[in-house]
Amino acid sequence: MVETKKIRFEGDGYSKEWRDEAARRGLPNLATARESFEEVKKADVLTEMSIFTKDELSARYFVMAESYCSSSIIDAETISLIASQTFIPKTIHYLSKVGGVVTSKKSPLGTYAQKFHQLLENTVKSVDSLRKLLKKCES
Amino acid sequence: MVDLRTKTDELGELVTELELILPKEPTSPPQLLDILNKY
Repeated sequence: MVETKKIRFEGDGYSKEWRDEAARRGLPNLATARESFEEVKKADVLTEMSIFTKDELSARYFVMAESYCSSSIIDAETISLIASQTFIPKTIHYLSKVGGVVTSKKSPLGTYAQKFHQLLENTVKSVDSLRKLLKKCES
Repeated sequence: MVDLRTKTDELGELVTELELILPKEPTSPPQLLDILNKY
């Protein structure tokens, strides 16, 4: 009980309160997958107990990192395709259909159409920035 | 890579939002014919 006191917390483990408390207790906070992979590489306990050799740990790190990178790239390519080939054209088509009905920007319908336009614009921008990042990953 | 993940999540949220507010497409004619032929 005494040994594990530092890592025990009775509240919400996902809250900011726990992050602050963990920092106060001096516990590490690995917020991203990449940071956690680095820890695997440094896990001396696994080599000390002869579970893995240093080389095996290093190999595991590279396999995990590569798998993470590949799945991130596939996810990004898929969502960018779905957005640009399905949702953006569908939204443009819908807006062109209802455009004639919406006359005043001050009417509730006008406000609704404006929100739609904003959402469409944000989606187009998001696809662009994601594609730029993907190009960087390729090069 | 973290940035790529964040941007992917952002776009995913926008697409979900669009999916929720875009009207659902009506059943296509072939599907309607299939249903009608059953009765």
